[in-house]
Amino acid sequence: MAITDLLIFFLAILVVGGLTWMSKKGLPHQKPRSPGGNQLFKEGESLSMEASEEFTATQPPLVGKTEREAPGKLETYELPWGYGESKITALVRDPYWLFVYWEINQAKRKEIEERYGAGAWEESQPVLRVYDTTNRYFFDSRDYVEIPINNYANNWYIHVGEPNKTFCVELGRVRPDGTYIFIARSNFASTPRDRVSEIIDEEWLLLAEHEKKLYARIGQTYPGPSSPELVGSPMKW
Amino acid sequence: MVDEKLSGKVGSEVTQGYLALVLHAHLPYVRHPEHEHFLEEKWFYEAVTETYLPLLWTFEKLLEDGVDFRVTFNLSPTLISMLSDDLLRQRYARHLEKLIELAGREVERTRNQPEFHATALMYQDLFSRAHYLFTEKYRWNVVQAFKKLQDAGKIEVITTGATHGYFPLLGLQREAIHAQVATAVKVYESHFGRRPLGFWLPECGYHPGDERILKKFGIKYFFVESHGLLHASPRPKYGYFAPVYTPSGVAAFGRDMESSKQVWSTREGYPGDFDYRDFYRDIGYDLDLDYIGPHILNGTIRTHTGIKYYRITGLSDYKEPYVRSCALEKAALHAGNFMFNREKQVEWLAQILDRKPIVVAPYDAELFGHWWFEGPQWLDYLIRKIYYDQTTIKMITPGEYLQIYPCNQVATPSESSWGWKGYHEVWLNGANDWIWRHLHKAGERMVELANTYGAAEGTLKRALNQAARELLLAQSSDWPFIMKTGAMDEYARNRFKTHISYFTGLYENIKKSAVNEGWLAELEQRDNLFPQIDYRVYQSRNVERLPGPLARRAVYA
Repeated sequence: MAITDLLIFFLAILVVGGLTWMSKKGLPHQKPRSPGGNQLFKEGESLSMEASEEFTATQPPLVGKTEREAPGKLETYELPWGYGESKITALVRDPYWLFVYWEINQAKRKEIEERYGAGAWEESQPVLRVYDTTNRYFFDSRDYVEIPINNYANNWYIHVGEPNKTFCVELGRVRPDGTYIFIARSNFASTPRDRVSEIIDEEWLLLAEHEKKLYARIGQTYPGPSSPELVGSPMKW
Repeated sequence: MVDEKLSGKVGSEVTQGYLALVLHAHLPYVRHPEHEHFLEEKWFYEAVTETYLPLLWTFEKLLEDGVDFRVTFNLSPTLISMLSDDLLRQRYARHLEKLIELAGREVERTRNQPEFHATALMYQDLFSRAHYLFTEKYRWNVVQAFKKLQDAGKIEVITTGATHGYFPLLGLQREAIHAQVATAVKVYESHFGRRPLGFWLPECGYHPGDERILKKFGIKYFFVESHGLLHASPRPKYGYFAPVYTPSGVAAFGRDMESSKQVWSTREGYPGDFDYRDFYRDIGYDLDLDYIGPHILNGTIRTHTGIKYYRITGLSDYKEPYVRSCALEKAALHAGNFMFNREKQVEWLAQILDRKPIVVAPYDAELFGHWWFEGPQWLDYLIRKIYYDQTTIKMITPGEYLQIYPCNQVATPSESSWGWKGYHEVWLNGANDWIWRHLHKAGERMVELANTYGAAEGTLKRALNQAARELLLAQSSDWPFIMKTGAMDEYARNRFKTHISYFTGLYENIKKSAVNEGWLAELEQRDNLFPQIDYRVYQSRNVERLPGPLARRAVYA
């Protein structure tokens, strides 16, 4: 028994000693980042970057989440949850992903209840409809991909998987009987290319100022004699 | 087969290709008059001491020695503002004086430690020289030192977004892009006496069509990331070894991947070499609190001082003392290696292309001196070697290259950035995606204000201008960047929320025609950058209105 007591005693000393030693060394070596930031790791080879693989999650953060109160130095402000509008905005993140955020105000909700009946809101499920509108000049509302979402979300990452296409996203609700309630439609967002272009026709440009100089020089002899005149025989076509 | 001896420097006296070195210097606007010592202001002091002054010193010595060179240098408008701000300049001078004092004590302390003493003397020299340059030679005006080098034809100074906003995500309001560019050009003009020829897109964030706004200000060229140019449509004939003209005539230069990797890569790049100075073993953390107290924040919070005695040594935490002479030898070796690689690259390209290629090598300026302590010396060696030791490559600015090759292929680069993963994810992810709804709303409101109050005077005008400043400050791409990657993410979130809140307050005041003068004056004191700002840069008549469905859509196959 006495030996285990001694062991525990020893361990306690080690732990306490270790803690005091660590605190004496000051703050742990947090790698400071310059605001120019993590530039040494731009090529994607950084160790710390690997931790952020989780940022590709499709789950949206909860609505109305508040940031932790920051300690001390600056006064802190909280931003409004929304701006009292009903709209949805689409941003492109990369060749395969869109990001949309939206807001629905009370007026819109009331409007829907009035139009579709009381309880239309609670009974229906919110959805996003993604339209591929590449090279289309009018809106064809039959071809879309529907994504069911939830009532708590106010933003969503959408995996469209298609580079070099233009999309538009609608926010709506689907009632139990399948009818669709339109709420808002987003702006157009175009995913960038992820490979070289198939178009290899080249077009060349000489800027106006240079062109002027060029033609100023050769233009002095224009129009010159044509080749038949120079050769001295009529051309037969 | 060409005789090896002749294919080298002796035989070919003709330049076969060009190297465009581009240094991008930017800091977000950090100025806290309400606090005597503010942690984040140190970013500014460190960058000036370790990067900008040493680089200027390097360039001036090259000029004095008659070495011809060309470097394209971007000075961001927020950086220019800080370098011109009285309070920050005073604080910086005081900071330097304390640093010199610390260096002196270090020289004393290490008197009997030969392995550290030489390094201590080195820091003493470095800080004393910085002080001399800042207070005497440049007379507190560092920006003018850049102008002198530009007037001498060695440096081409370009500009970037007013507060380094991230254009592809901000550009939902075209007016927001216009305002970032217009304000930046104005700041540049007021310091350099002419308009900038080139533009550094913040983070190389390119959205097709933004160059039309650049064109309005006479900008001749901008930069995109490698794949931005490689994926251009139609396919660029020369890859990224020549610029393309966007349909509006503004040229796009693409970053070269090889030269970028040699310097940027943590594993393969030069800065990671074991003989170079280690960044993290700073005396601010290593020495006794009683001794180091006066030189760190509030005497208790350990921070970097800039005095570091160890070299990288290896991949573990075990570090050996720094030996300056070895580090400089390495820098010379690496400079030679970089030059050799560029020569080989250009020689190979010259065989398959029908024109002289340009290798565009952009880097953050802060890499040289701050992150990579020996960076400025490497640059010095490189420039001298290029000038004296060979003739294959020549340094050039993008503007000069366009004069040599005024006829270029027309193509539109693809949307891209030089951030991690090559697109917008760094600024649009779980840590920071919440900011965009606020930025877009504020942008919309600012446009509304600018359109409504076309010709404001007096207090109203001041309020409108300050609203524009607050919005610009909120638009800094640094905030979302730090939120995703940095240890100072609380600070970034606070800054963002603060500026949006101030903007909203001003917006509401203006709409109610009840501007609180006292509060306005306070804001003007605090967020005082861009004194000549004109809120009308947000008016809609400045930008092209694209018809509904064509706004923000893919036009190119």
